Amino acid sequence: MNEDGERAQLKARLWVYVEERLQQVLSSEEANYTPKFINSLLELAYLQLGEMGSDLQAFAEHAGRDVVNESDFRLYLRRQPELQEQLTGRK
Amino acid sequence: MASADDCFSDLEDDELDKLYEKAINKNVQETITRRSVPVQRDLHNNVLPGQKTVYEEIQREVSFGPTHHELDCDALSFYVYPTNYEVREYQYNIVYKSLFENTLCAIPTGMGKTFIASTVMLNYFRWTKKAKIIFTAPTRPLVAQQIKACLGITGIPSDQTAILLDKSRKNREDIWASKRVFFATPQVVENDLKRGVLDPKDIVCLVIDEAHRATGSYAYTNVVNFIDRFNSSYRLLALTATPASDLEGVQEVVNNLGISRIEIRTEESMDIVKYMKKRRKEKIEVPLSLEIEDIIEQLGIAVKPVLQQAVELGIYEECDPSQINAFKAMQQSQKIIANPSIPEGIKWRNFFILQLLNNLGQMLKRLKIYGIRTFYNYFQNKCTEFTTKYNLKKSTNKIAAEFYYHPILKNIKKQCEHYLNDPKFVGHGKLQCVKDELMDFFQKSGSNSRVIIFTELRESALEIVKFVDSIGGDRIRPHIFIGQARAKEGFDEVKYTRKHAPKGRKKTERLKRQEEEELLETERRKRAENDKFERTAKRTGSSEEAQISGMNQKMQKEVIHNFKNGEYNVLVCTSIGEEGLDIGEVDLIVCYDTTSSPIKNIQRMGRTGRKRDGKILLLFSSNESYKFERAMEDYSTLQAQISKQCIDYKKSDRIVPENIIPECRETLITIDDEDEVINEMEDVDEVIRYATQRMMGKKPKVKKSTTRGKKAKENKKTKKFFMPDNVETSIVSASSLLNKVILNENGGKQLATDNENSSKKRKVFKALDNLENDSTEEASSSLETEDEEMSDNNEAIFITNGQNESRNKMKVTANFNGGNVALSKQALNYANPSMAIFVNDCSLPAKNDKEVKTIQENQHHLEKEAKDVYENNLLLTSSEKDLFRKHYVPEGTSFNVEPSLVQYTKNINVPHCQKVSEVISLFDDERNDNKKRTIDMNYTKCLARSMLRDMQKVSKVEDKSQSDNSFNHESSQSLTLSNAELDDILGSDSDF
Repeated sequence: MNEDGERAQLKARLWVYVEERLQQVLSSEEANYTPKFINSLLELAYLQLGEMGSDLQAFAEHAGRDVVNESDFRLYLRRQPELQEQLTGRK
Repeated sequence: MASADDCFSDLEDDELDKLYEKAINKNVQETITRRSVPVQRDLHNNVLPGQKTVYEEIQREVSFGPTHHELDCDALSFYVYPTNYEVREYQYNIVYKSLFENTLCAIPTGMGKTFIASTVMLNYFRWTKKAKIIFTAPTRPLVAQQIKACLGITGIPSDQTAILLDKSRKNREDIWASKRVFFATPQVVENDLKRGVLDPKDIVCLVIDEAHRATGSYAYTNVVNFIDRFNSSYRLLALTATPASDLEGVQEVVNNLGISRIEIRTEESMDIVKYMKKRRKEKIEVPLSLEIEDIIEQLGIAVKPVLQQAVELGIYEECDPSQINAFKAMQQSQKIIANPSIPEGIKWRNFFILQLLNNLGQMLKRLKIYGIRTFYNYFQNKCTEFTTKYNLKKSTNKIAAEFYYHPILKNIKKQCEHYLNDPKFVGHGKLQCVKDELMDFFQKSGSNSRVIIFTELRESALEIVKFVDSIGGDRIRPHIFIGQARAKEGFDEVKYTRKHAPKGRKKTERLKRQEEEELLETERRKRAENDKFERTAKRTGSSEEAQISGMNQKMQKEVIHNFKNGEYNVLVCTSIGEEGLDIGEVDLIVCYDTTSSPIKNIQRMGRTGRKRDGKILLLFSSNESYKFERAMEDYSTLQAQISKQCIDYKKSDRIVPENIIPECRETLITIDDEDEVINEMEDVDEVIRYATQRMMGKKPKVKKSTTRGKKAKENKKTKKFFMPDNVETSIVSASSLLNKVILNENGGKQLATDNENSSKKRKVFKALDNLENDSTEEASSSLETEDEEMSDNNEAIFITNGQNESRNKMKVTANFNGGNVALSKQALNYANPSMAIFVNDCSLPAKNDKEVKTIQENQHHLEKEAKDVYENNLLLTSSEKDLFRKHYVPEGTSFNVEPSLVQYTKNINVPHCQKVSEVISLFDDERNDNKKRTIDMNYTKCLARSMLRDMQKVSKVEDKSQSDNSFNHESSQSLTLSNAELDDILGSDSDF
């Protein structure tokens, strides 16, 4: 598959997750949402993830590695202590 | 539709404005009409950045609430009009109008401006209980005059008044606090307002004398601006004889002072003419004498070649050499200097030609208007200056040399010297006129009358003094009256030559030179002393002395004093004598020359005809009569324009409640004997001294007494800051200013922990706050209560989305408070479901019932919910309702409109970074239903659907009906259709 195709696949997967998540969160509320809403959430998430990816890559490169590892991610989360805690907790 | 963010930036500005306008009881209603304007677009039909797409028309309607001043209801039913003097119709009218509106009163000098001011002040004094009344005038004499009127006519009790003339006076705090009527200079008022000694909210009446000065950043403007910020409920009365010389000037004064009405009267006005003291105006056209004509002709011959050259070069209009105008030449030369396209050489040659013409123009002006003596001084000076420079080769100006070395100039010199050596020679026909007039005048009216002669040039003033002195014997005693600047020193030939002479390098030579210099210096000093001695011997000596060294304030005062008591009876003034000096009663004004400024002319003439009839003698020669007529004509057209409502006024507070119309009660006010004394006083200082003493509560002696008993100040007063109303004054911590709604993404379960977290954090903040501001208990306690409320909310109400919601809230409140039509329209659009994409639940926080109703109309399926809200509301007590209204966020989320983000950063036009711009374009596309975006979306959706199906096949856990239910609810028909199609397509595995 070409790049566009891959992107479409990725987005579709994101869609599934976003929708799933929405259903979880809003199940108690009987809330409804339009596809457009899902789409914009997914686009935002996609952008955010894309940026995160390039950031992580840059961090790894700066550390002289080819592979992104946990320390890069920790650096990425340097401003969210709660998330960092979770990360260490899981570990 | 204006985007959400734009509105916020607008709001900020509005808020600033509002803060500014937040003056006690003033309401400003703004109606903004927006119209689209054609804009420049690029090839993609996008609007180029940095352009305004709408044109805004702002209509302001100002309305005033009831005043904050305490009014005396009994006194309000009528106003007092003193009848101590005869009742004049125009004064009566102006007083009535200026009681209820901020008025600019322009009536000729000597027509009782002070009386009008006193009456208005008296009535505001009566109507209010505690408010302060301030009279400001730029000079002491004017203040003294007003004090006299106030104490002598209106009978305002003198223990309620105070005089504040200079900043040096002590315990002004106490004075401002204890008295109610003040006489002050604007500088004092400005200073005390800024220091916080005077509370601007206490002021109910401000009188401004000589209001034409309220331009630029003069103290008047600052004072009014300052008061306006805090207080809209005060009466302003501006007085002047001459509002300005043109319409723009008048408008500036009106703007600066917030005037809502102009009462203008001219000397020709119907209601004024009968009260005018007769001022006989006599215009004499003085022909040029033969000698002057002769000199003009000779000068013309000398300058002709230069003029011809100038005409050929096209830098000066062709004219008769005798008509060369200095001003025109100067204008031309400035134009040439400013023109960068002319080569340097030509530029400077042209400049020198014009400079010469300028000098010649000056000579001609002096010759024509002031006479031979003034001309010769100037001429001689210029000639020696140039010839010396030229001889020393410091100047190589051939063109000027051609003129200055013209043989005919020698002739002129000889002629002039010949004339001037004759002491009986009359330098100009005007002098003869002055002489005749003075002789005649003093013959008729005795030596008790006073005369002022106005001229623009000091030299000419001195010449007049000398000449007048030579004719009159003892009966006419003239003196000069000028400003304090030193006279310009003429060109000193010897000094210049020495300075530029070749300097020897040897020691002996240097020594020799020094010696010579010393010798010269002593010689000069001796000569100066000699001159001085000689001058003191002459009667006009002090005038000559003054002409050279200028007159300082002390000398000026002395001369005025002597003029009043009769030691001098003719005063020769430059423009300094035109305004603001209390010169007393003058019977004859002689204008030796004219100015093209109508204000100056009027002020000059206003020096006479105040209490008794006076005479004005205007002396014209050459084009002066034309100049004068034009200036006066300009002024009268200005007056006509003002009365034709060409001025944009500001609305002012009536202060007196609308339903009360005070009647006029004409009363003769009896002044107690002690104050009666003041009516007889003449001298400025005496009046002020007397009044000050009266106000200190002492029984004043009329004679000098230098008691300076003042109580020692008990303790220093702390500085006060006066704030506009509705301002929170205590210290507020930044954390309490944050958005109080917590953003939640994960649903109910995590909310509790979040809450705990946040409240923990809060406590930490609070501790910090306490550390930071121990003293501000209140602030922290209020914070605590807020905290409690917050936690209550979080338990009771499920807060889903903070930011969007709060934005909407702000929108709604802003629009209802502001009454802004455009905004409310916008809000309607908001509620409109067609604009909303996430149409789950649109009930806005029920801040306003009306708003809820409109929403109901628009969205049928929401009606039930809204009703529920209502029913809920009905069951609650009122206090609960309030709390509910404040904090209620409807169940479920309401997304009305995607945020619209600004394309460029606000301050500078720098594009956003890639991610941000992509976010922006995403929302833009969503809003505009971009086709590509929709197709992409549907494609992704189909992919996702198929993916989901795959997953379900594998896990078989999810119930399909649930997902179907959520999708088909709101999406439009066409969308589902295309979905189905796409589903098929994807199902058949074709590449999309």
